[in-house]
Amino acid sequence: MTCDELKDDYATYALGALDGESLDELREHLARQCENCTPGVRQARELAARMALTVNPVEPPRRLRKRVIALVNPHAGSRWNTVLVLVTALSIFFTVHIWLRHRESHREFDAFLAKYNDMQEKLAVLEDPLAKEVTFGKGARGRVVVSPTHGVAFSGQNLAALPAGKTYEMWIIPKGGKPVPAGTFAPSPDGSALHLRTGPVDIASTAAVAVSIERAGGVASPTADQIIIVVPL
Amino acid sequence: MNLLGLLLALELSDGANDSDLARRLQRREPQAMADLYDRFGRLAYSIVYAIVRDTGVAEDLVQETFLRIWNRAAGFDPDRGALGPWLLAVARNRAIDYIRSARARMDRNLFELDEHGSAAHFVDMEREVLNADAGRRIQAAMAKLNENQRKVIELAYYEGLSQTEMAERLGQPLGTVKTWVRTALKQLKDQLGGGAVMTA
Repeated sequence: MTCDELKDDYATYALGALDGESLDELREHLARQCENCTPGVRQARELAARMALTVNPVEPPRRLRKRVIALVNPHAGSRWNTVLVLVTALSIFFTVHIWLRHRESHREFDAFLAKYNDMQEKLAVLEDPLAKEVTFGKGARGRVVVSPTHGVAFSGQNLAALPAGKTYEMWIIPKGGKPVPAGTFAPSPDGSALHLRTGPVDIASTAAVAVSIERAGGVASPTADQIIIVVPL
Repeated sequence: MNLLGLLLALELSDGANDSDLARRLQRREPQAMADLYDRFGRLAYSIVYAIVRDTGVAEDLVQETFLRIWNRAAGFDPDRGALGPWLLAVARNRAIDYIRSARARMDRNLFELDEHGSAAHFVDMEREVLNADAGRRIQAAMAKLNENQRKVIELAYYEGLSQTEMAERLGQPLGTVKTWVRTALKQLKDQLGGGAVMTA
């Protein structure tokens, strides 16, 4: 069939309704990049695309957004998701706590109590309505939450695993002052980390929160060329 | 005029942002997936649900759709491609593939991704193909079709039926169905005017 004979079928093809000999012929023209049929079908696809606008709108379930995002970022979530995870973890620790008390294993109980207290402190920062939250990121990404009364929480993702003898160290950088060490931390195997430095923070006089890679145990001043994240407040 | 349809269309009218979004998808930025969903998720779900009529299946297929776009974004041309039409075509194809499979009618598979859902097919498409004005015009044009014309267009778009299958479904001669399809598409083209470039 000639291009002229096929041109009336471009739109039917783009809609997906063409079949029989016409379909076979048009496919053959498209396969050889026919200079008439290829642009003709391309233009006809615009009508098929516009058919999407004839649909009756239906609101998808809210969980679908989370499902889609989780496809590429299973650890993504809102601040409330983080809180939910922590609350769930707290429940687990409480259960373990009771079990350990029952076993009268005081040393283990103390360790779990410390973790419980740590989580309580993180929750206090994350839930503080006066806290300032700043997101960052390309590559390593996440957010910093600064509570004026409870401290600084750093939540990061895609953090690279470090070689033995190295650690991540957080810094609070005052305006016009030297960076103040704010504790070391190691990411989970999946590259995520939630690190907390407790204590009041004057947000107005704080320029930024930063993270550097330092030797294990941490250092008093950040190594300039090892600062990997700077989050201005 | 479907007001909600218009609002949906308004969400989709920014071609420049789509180019930026496509580049971020190519850089594998997870936030780009969230933005892609916020931009096209509701319309994609509406299309899929209109075809499969099952909320659970629609959710699964929309999720698959977004994953396909994510995995194939590298083959998309952000400068020349139309991201929204591509995504919605993939969503529709997934839904029609599903109902075809469910109905065990696999003898003809017009909706293979490579034939109607390839990113290459959405190059040089008008960027504003899904804007509010397009929404108004296509809905007005559909309203002006007669019952037979509208029926065959809906059978094609929402059920993926070929002209032969439509003839069987409607109990009409194939030639009659072809005439309905052709005149419907020509009428839509005429109603849409210069904005909808179509050779039919």
